[in-house]
Order: sequence, then C-alpha cells, then structure tokens
Amino acid sequence: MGKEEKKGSSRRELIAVGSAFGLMGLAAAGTGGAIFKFMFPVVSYGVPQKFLVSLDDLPGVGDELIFEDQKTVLRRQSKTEIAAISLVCTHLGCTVNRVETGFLCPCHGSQYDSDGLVVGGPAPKTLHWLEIKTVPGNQIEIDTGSSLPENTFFAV
Amino acid sequence: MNELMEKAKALGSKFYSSVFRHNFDNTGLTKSKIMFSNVLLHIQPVKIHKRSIKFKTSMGLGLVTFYLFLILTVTGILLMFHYVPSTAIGPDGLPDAYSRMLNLRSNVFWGGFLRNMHRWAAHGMVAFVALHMLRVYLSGAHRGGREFNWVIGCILGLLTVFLSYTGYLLPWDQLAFWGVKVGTEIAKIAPGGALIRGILLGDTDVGSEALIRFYVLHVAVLPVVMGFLIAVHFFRIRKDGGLARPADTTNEKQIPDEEFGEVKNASVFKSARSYKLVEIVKGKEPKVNEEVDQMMFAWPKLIVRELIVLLAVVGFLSLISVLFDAPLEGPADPNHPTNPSKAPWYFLGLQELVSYHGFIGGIVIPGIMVGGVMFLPYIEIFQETMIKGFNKNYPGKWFARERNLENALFIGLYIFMLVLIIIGVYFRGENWAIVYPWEHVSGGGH
Repeated sequence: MGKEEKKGSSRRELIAVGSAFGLMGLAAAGTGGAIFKFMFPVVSYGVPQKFLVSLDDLPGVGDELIFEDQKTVLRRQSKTEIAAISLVCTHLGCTVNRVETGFLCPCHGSQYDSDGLVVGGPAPKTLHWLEIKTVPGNQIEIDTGSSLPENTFFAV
Repeated sequence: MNELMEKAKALGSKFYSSVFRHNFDNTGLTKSKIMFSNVLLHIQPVKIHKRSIKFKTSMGLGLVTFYLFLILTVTGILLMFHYVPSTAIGPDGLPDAYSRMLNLRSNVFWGGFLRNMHRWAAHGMVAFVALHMLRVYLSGAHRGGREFNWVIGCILGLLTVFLSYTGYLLPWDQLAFWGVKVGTEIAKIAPGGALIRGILLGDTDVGSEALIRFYVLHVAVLPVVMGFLIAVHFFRIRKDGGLARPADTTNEKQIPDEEFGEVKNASVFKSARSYKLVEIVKGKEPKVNEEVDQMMFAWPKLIVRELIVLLAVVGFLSLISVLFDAPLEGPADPNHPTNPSKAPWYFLGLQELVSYHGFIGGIVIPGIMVGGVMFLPYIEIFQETMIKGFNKNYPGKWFARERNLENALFIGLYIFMLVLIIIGVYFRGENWAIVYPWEHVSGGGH
C-alpha cells in the first residue's frame, strides 16, 4: 500500500514537473521561432537585384560596359546579340577586376578568362552569366540574381 | 569638547561598520571576513591552495583575458558615446560611421587613445584566449571534473572571436568592409550557412543593415552572453575545487604559521591555523586529520597579485595605445575591393585554407578543429571508459609524460594555425600571390 502510494506520488510529480517543463519548453520554442522569423530580412535596402539599361546606352559591337554598383559587365557580341556577366567572384564574392586576359579576383587570386571560365585559383565555378529581358520603353532588364551557363546571349 | 570628539568617533565607527563588516587586523577571522563580506571578492574562495598563486600553475593567462574583457567593456561603452552605426552619407561626403572614426581620431579628447586601446585589447584578448587554452591543455587542467568547464571555455573563445569580428565592421572602412565580406562569404559555403548569413547581414549583401545588426550584436547581445558565461566559467572553477594541481605530498613544506594571522583570545593555539574548514567542495565529510594543510588565506596575497597583473595589463596596453594607432583605411567602397582583401589576422589562417579549397578549407577542416578541440576531454573520457588501462587524467600536471602524444598533437595544431596565419599576414600580396614580407602590401590582415 505504502509502496503504491509512493509510486502514485512520484507519478504525480513526474506529471507536474513534466508538464511545467513541457509548457515552458513549448513557450520557449515558440518564442525562439518567432524571434528567428523576426530577425529574417524581408526588405533589401541595398542595390536592387534587377536594373534597367536603355537600348540607346548599349555599348558598340565588340565593346563592353561595366556597371559598378550592380557588379555587372554588359557585352555586345554582335549587332543583335548581347550578354551580361556578373563580376561577383564565385569563390567568396569579391568583385573581380576586368583585365586584359579576363577577370582577376584580388581577394584570393581566382583567375577567369574573358568568358568567365576559371583558368586559375580557388574559384569553383564559371562567373555567372545573367538573364536579360527586353522590357517596354526601349529598355533591357538585367537580373543580377540569375545564373546562366556561359555563352548565353540574348537578342536585341 | 572631549565628549563631542568621542561622539564623533562613535558616529564615524557606526558609519564604517555599516559599510564594512570587518576591521583590518591580522587575524584569520578578519582575513576570511574580508573575502566573503565583499561582493566582488566573494567570487573567490577564502582559502586557496598555496600552489594556486604560483606563476607556474596558471601563468595568469585566464586572468589577463578577463581583465582585457573588462577593459574592452569600459572603453567600448565610452566609444559608444561618439559612434553612430549608419552608412548614410553625411555633409562631409563620408558615411556617418566612418566620419565618426575620423572625429574620434582627430577631434575628441582621448578619442584616438581609447579607440587604439579598444582595438589592441581586442586583438590581445583573442591571443590570450589561445594562450590560456594552450596552458590549460598542456597542464592537463581540463580534466579531473573540469571537462564541462573546458567546453564553456571553448564557447567563450568562440564568442571572443565573434565579438572581435562584429566589432571589426563598425569603423566602416575598406579594411572592415572587405574583411567582413570575405568572412560572411565563407559562412555561405556551410550547409545552412546562407540562412545564417542572411539573418546576420539582414540583407543579401554587406550593407547598412549588416552594420546595424553587427552593432547590436557587438554592444549588447554578445557581451551579455559573454558576461553570463564568464560567471559560469568562474563559478565552476570554484565548484570543481579551484585550479587544477597535482595531489599534495606528505613531505611538502608547511605554510609558516605567520601566514594564518594572530589569535586574539588566550587560546592554546598561537595561530589561526586550526581555522580550517571554510567550505565543503566535494565529498560527504569535512576533511580532518590531514597531516599538512596547504591551504592559505586568499587575502592579501592572491588579491595583491591580481591587482599587480591588472596594473601590468593596463600599463602595457596604454603604452601600446600611445605608440601605435589602430588601423583605419579609406571609407568602405563596395565596388572596389582592396587588393589583397584580407580578413582580420585571427581569420587569416582560415582565409589561407579557403584559398586552397572553399568547402574543405572553410568548413570541413575548421569544423573538425573547433568541434574536436571542444570535446577533447570527452574523447579522452570515452577512451578511458572503453579501453582498459587507458588513463590520461592528470589534472594540473604540466607536460605529464603519459600525455605526451596528446600534448604533441595539440601543440602541432597551434603551430599549424600559426604558420597559416603568418603566411596569410606576411606572405600574401596582390591577387593573393606569394610575396616576401618586406614588400609593401595594403589591404587588411590587422
């Protein structure tokens, strides 16, 4: 009898302690999740991911135009073909410099040829070629968040 | 008149005894009271082992680290009065945060000195955390019940690095911007790292949002977490029986009677040596019948030594801060990375590894190193439980012969990191090419 009583009281204790800690744990998990979501960025205050270029401002055939803020180089392959290449190093995100042989990253020495193919250094991937859309108003829209294989040209 | 003097005296002593609950005589009781009736001193035990205050035992490295944390807190709070975490371009054409640096350096009285002190103390703290860890490991002080405190210590070490890193961005100069940029890109390689990075930066790239987030982490979140864990770290040292040391031997020299102070009443004992048990740390019974008691009063010897170390740290740091200015480059320019772009020196070993291979160098090797080091004592315990006759538990014994292999591996790890850092700091130039250290290179690594 006494033994059973003890058992019962320990079970009550377990339920009390368990539910107290369980509820606290649930509340903590909920709060933690809410804080996580609160911390998550919803608006970007930086440079917009997409930017517009007027058709009148396109470089001449064989020429290039560098957009510093957008870290993009716009290349005119022929009269009707253009392409955009990202200047963000695929290794650790530094901005690569345009040099005669292609692109050079100052941070860790990644080397690319002028099509963005890796020729040296730690870079794992080709520089991203970007998507270009023709939009109304004689403009093109370049999406710096896109990632296309090399030699993806778009018609103008 | 005499009566008035008497009354004034009585009043004065009432004031005194309402603040201090003890006198300053040379008795054991007073020596104890001084320690446990003062909120700052009572963190430390009334009695300590005589070997605990020997330089050889701890080298004071943890203490120096703690002092640097205090100095960083004081100088950091002072710097906050003059700092604005904003990238908005002010009337001088410079980002606010950066122009505040210039203001601190050239206009504010003591501004440059305090900034130097804050920066050098931060570097010093990272270095002393590493040295403290090395000391603890080589003297086996992470064992003998102190295993979990080693883990807390490792977390404190990581917090130190993270605090340095968040503080690194705040000047918003080229050094800060590209150092942080490279660091957060390393995080991107890890699984789930992009998510962490997004929360840390508050945007897709290092910018104004990253500055405010790093600022809040640096001045509020991390120091509070750190302060709490420091308290736990110290608390556990007490509860684990003080600093690790080898067991007493019976033929050891006894502490002279004078150390224990006089006895006021007409006791048969000449000294307060019999004043033995102050606290029970472990075990069921008070310790009695010990032939030699090697415990001595912490007051005044320990406290005096601690103050001497504090003076030395503040003095040395002041000298460094007068002689050397904290680095400050041009204002941050997201379009033009410095060439080379180097992370702060404590990350340069990592950056060097990353330059060989992003994932292996940035995640696998450092992950194994941090995780491995953190759980080292538990690896030892696991082996001791599983393998018969395996014993690596020699707390407090410097370079225990039985731990030669472990010590050699640990020193090897330190040398490995040190070599990588030296290569990163001195032998990497433009485009991360190998250069000789005497060739001029600008672009980080400080």
